[in-house]
Amino acid sequence: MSKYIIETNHLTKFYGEQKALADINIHVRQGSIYGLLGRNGAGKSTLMKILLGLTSASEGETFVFGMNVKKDLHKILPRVGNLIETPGFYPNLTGYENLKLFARMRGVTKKNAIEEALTLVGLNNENKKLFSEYSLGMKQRLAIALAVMHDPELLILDEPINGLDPIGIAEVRKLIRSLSEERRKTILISSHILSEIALVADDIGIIDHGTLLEESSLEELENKNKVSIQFQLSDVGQASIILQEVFKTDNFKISGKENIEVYDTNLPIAKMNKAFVESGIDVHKAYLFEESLEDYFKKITGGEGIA
Amino acid sequence: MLDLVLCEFQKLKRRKFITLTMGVACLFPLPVLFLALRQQQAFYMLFRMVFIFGEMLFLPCVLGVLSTIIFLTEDENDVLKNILTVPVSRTKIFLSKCIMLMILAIIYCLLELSASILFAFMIGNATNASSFILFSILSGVFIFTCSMPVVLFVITFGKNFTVSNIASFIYGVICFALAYLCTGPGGEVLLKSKIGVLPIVMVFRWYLGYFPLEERLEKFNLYVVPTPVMIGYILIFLAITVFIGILVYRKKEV
Repeated sequence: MSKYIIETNHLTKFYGEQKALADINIHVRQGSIYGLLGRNGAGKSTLMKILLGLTSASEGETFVFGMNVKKDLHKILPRVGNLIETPGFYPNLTGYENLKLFARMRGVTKKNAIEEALTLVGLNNENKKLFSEYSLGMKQRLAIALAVMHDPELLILDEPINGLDPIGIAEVRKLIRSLSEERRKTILISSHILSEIALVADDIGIIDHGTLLEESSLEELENKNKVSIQFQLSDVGQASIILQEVFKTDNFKISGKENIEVYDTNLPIAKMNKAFVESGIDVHKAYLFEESLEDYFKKITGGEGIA
Repeated sequence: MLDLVLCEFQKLKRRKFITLTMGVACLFPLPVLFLALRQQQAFYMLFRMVFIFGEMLFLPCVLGVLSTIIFLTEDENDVLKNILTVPVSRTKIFLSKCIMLMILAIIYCLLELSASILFAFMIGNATNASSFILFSILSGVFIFTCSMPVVLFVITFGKNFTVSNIASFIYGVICFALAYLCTGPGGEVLLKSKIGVLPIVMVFRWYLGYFPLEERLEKFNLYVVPTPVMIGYILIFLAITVFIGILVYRKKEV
């Protein structure tokens, strides 16, 4: 049996002529929070819909709990909670009544399951309000309550912080972390907000224009961030000779007419600066540069970056 | 399946249209009563008029609007994806909605019968109306089946409430007009043609056999459809429309 809760093999999806997903291979470990990061329209929701059987893949295979989604969907779905795109409920019913309806359909037998789910998302005092009177944030919370009400092993949450205020975002973040750490849920969460994904996810998949550009743990991604000493000076040729002959390093790159990036950050900036100046080079700038996750994503997504 | 049907009823909570419709079903016999009073056998006349106008004309429109509410509410509010991921199959969702519509149609017909009996009793024309309970149940099932094309229209083309509701009313009026024309001067020609086997006309032909007909309508005795034949016909029509409905509903994008 696969060690992954979710695994896709060369998943491809066409909408007519348009390719929405291209050869996607994602791997979600048990008990982990997997952050699917991508701009709006990148293919995140399509991927999640395929995982839930709401739409079918044009090519490739999808496995959830080691079972093929095409063949064993009825066995998979009772073990999954989800929130896809907008929260969908009946406007003429209260939040409680909506959950009661789904509890009946799901055959939830646990006493107080609805109350517990509402309490978990902070909606326990909104029992009498109709769903149509809910704010967007409350709707989002109710959708999360529905996703967790039947105590699923896997949660698939598509942009769960949409429409939430900063306090709400922090609460949902805390809730997601506690579901993972205390209740051992596996969570696949999507967002177009890098900072949010970086705060909750253990593993990250970056999706852009239907292609999975990168999949790794947050730790690995952070290690990939390059740190360098950057110089802006008048003579890069002379400066590179000094770096090679005086400081015995080739670990640098000339970028442009005036810039040198030195990747060996153990070298002393002050001594290098002094050596350049003594050789008659004008040094305009000298600083330690650290590439952020944002910069990294900009680079791999072709410069457009992610919000 | 029972749970799903019960859920369908739960979904209608606070829908004023349902209360209004059932209220109309109860009150509709009242104005008709004054017309029936002038006739002999007032109860029969009252109930016949209630059936013609309240059930053959009004009920298909009501069922059309109801189907618009139950199907389009889920589309507009993006609820279907939540139900599908329970998981509930599309076939079961569609069937549970149809069963709910059929039950509402039967309730509507029984309410009209009850109100007719009550009003007839009030004017001292009490009659043994228990035999009409079966008639009301059957007419609810038959009229619901006749309204299935509207359900198919709603799930296939219904993108907004206005268009679907207008289609329901047009369908209801056309059905009624067809049945009405069959009793007119050229009625026999229509009954002999293919129009004579259209569902609503078949219901009308079945209805003719249930009541004592006045002289001018006696010629239609030839075209009366017995209840067992009618049940068989309705079962076939229902099976075909439900099958088409399931096919369409299964292809619906979420």
